[in-house]
Amino acid sequence: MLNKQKAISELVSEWMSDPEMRESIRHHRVVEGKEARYAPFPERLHASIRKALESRGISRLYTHQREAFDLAFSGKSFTAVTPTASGKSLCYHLPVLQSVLEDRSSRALYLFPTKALAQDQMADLHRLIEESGEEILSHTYDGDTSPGIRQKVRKSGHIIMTNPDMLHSGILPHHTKWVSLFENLKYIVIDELHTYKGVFGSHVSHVLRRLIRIARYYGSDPVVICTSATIANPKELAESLANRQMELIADNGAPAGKKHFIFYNPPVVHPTFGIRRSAVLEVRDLARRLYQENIQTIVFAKSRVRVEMLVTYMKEMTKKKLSDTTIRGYRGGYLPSERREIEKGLRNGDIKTVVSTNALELGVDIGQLQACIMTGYPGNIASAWQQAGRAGRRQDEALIIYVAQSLPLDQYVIDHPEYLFGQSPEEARIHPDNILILMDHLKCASFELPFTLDEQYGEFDVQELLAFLASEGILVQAGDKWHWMSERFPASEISLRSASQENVIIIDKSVPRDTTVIGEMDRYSAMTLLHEEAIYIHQGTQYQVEELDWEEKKAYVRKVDVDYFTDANLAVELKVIAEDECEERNGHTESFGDIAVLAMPTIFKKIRFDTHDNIGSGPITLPAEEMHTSSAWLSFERPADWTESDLTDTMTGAAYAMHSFIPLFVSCDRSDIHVVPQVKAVHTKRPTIFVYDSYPGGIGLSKRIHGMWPDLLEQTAGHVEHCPCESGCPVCIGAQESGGNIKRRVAELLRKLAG
Amino acid sequence: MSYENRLMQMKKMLKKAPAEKVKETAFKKPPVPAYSERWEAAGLERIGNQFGTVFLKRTHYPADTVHGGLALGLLEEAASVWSGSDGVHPFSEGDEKKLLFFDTETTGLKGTGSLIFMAGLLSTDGEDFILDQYVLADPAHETAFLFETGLWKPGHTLVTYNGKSFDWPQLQTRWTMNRQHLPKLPDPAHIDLLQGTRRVWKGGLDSFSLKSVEEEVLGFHREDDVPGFLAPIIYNDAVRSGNPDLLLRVLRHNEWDLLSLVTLFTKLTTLLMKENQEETPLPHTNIGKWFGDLKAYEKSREVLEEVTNVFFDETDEAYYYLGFLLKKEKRYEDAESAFLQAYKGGLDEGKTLQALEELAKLQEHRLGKLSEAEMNCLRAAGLLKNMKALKPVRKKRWQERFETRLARVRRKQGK
Repeated sequence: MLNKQKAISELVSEWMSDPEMRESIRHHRVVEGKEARYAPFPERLHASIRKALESRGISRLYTHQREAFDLAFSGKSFTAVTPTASGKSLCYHLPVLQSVLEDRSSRALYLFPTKALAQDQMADLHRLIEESGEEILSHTYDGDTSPGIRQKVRKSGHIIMTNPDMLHSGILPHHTKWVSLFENLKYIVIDELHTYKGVFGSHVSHVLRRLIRIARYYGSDPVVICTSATIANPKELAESLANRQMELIADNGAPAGKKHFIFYNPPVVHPTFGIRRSAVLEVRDLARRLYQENIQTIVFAKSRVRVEMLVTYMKEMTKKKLSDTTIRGYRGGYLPSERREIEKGLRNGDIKTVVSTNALELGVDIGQLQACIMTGYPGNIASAWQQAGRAGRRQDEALIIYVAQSLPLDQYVIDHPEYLFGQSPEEARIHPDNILILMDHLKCASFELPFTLDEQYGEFDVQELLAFLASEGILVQAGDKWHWMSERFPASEISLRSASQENVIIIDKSVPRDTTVIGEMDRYSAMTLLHEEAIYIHQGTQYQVEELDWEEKKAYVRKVDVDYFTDANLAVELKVIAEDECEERNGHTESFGDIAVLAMPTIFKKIRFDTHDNIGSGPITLPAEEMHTSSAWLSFERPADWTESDLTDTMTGAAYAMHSFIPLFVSCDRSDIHVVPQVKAVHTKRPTIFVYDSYPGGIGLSKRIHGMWPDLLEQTAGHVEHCPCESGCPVCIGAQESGGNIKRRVAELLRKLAG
Repeated sequence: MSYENRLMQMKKMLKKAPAEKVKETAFKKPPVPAYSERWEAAGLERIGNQFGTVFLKRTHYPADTVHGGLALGLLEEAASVWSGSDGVHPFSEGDEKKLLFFDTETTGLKGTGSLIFMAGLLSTDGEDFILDQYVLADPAHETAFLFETGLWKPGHTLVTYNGKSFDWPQLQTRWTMNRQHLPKLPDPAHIDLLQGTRRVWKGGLDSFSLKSVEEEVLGFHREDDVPGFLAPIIYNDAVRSGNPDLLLRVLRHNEWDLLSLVTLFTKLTTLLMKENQEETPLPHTNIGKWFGDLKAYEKSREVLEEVTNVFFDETDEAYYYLGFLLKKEKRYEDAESAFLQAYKGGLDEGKTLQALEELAKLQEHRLGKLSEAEMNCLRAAGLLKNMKALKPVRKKRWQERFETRLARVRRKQGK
């Protein structure tokens, strides 16, 4: 190598003393490393496993691996919290392999959130088995499994590695083909537990209830092993997901090196609107510096497009070298062989910089890098730590740079590093009680195995629901069972990831022979942003929507260059169906219950840039969207000296600010929740702010908000007050048309409601 | 009110229960369905066994019964052909006394929630043909139904249409669901006529649904048939309402399926084992290729040579396959002339290129005709330019192959 590598700490102090860099570096924190803690191999550990481990230079276990082994062999289900690269897979491989070696009929089912992850782990497990010299059949079972070996995997696979979707529609409804698996199922392993949250997690919780029901039918009672990244409630999540008691292994024995965290805020380039220099460009410059210092770096970007942009920028540095492969992108959509090649290049050091989407957040084995750059806040603490965990070789120091974008959450985090370092990462929540999700899976469970007249499903007493399905003509009661009596195959009608499937795909057909998908948008937002004739702005380019195929959820757009943008009116009607809870506090009322949301776009206006003149309008013809969901709402008296128009503007600003903050509190995506202000709500007859779940039936988010209004309001107020803009900007209360005192009023209102 | 609205109303009914204990399931004989008398009145026989109730319709057919263009009784002669064969061919399991023609009707296409509600079994006692159609009394009586079919008894050869992918796996699934009470299901010999039909009429039929095969090959036309996709709805309705009227039409549908299986078996066997009798060379060419794939090369060559002797047109494919057989027998000059004949005809693009390559290979490596090999490479390159059906990837691959060969052949000639 040409240039000698600087130590991370040397580099950091160099940056800190550079006046220009110093300006943008808002914080520098150091997290000290820790020593490894070991435990001896368990006595019963099979000689072949010992041999395999020793051939890897492992002569003892980390304490958490040993604890996992002991719990598994005392028949207890458990959840191990393990950061990246802490030897987490041995927490489940060891007990599983041991049980197979003690009894060759033993079977285990591994569940990974995606197909790609299962395939990665298969390679790793195969190596371990090979080193042990034993004949243990482990294989992935998913859409890519070749028909030729499916039967062998079903009949004699000791370890089946799959994903929840395949389990849901490819394994459980065909359980008679898997008799030897279900009769001998000793372990269910759930890797990356923290990814099972929200609607997806709620669906998966039911897939697991169905799995356990089938296992019991065949007479087995498997131990459930989960591994999770750091979240606030791993035990609770696992218990709710698997519907059983869990032990928790929170104390990790793996060593860690010292970590430098740098919080980097791009300089302000437009003070009035609070606009900062593009985070992507800053990241490019930082990554270049690290490349020149010969420091192996991973750069995280939020979208595939950004990954490609950054790779292109970075490669300009090396374009004079022939076929340089030291800088690579890594994202979904690459071929498996290409990904294997990149992973290998990272492990052996051939690749110096990799730019990735969150695909590399999960447990793909790429070894440990020296530095990590996050382009923007990844959305939740668990992800941030997962990404940061990619940097840090055992003894070496590591550098983690967080570069903020001009978004509310990003700016909040840059000002509050304690949010990341504090003791309370967000919780991951699921809501198996969602009646719509529950009914979907009750159908699947009925299809798989008829319910008896006294049987329950998971923790639910479902006899009345089964009678309802019979009245719908889906089941028929014959003898002492509810039999499936429909030609349909329910699992194929139910998608575990339905929330995202409802999105509208945006297709650019500017070049007729080369139409490309440029993005997607949730259905609700699409009504006002992707209606026909709307001007849709993507990566700074204007597109006009030529056709919105609402049935197929596709919007066809074409590049245009016009001097206006469009703004649509959405008429949202909220109707409270049932008010389940209601509390008075400081003169305002906090309620929780079920609501019906009827949303219908009405007209759109064309508005000229700069002057904001209205230069035309047109109708939007889309069907109204009706949804029943759960909601938390807060109603209050109008402050005496405020006009109705003051109140409207203030509530709109407050709702905007709150909406940005809710994901911080309840660990969800921005699009999982809606905030609607009403100056005079029908139900309360007073000014009211509604917060409701974007998913039919609710997924427990607004339920959580109901219990934390004061916290939410106070934090939001603090952020608005703290924002350096003059009178409101996209980072706090949304861009305001004119000056005025809306920003002050928003803070005032939030403070007052916080009490 | 929509489905979702009604569910939201039911949210209040959702109750949780304490953890459940695992129960032992002892077999309890289900009660006779309330509608039994109506089903009996419609002509179904009610049978009770130790597991419950099942309905049966039994029909006798004399051997001279004609279905489509063929009498059922011709089966005997057809099947006897196979007992003397060498056992290579998948149909050689045939022995008409043991043949059990089998077809099911189900409530769904896959998974443990779709039931077999009707099993039709047709066999012969050497004189008459007997069709037994078992009907599931209701889902609670599945054990009784499966047991009564007798499919657990060994010693027969199943004949089905698409049964290897559908009927038999479905039966295995149902058997597994009831396995604690039933005798073990054996794995009998199984002839799937769909596979044979596909091989023999490949390129000659647009659809291989049994209905199309009946019309195109067997000369049988159904009247007033219930389409198969309605069968599940009809059965579900018969159980809910107790009214079996429409169900009887599903029984007739199943009956036609089974009768067609018998004549199709006869038809295929005669084609396979006897001289040419079809008006077009296609089925015979396909049969010749089939024997080749089964490594019965001599039989294959016999059939293909017969095609080239009897027919004048559309013999290109027969010559094409014959070329490979002759090459295998090291009769290189004969192979060359077969491929020449094949190439002159109307082969599809892929086969045309393959034939030219085979010619060039023979001429280059075996016959020392380098300039002719060169000619054929050039000919292929010329044809390739105008080929439309080939995928671009394959086209490119072919181009490269011929370029490489051309270069080598030229080098060998000192060019």
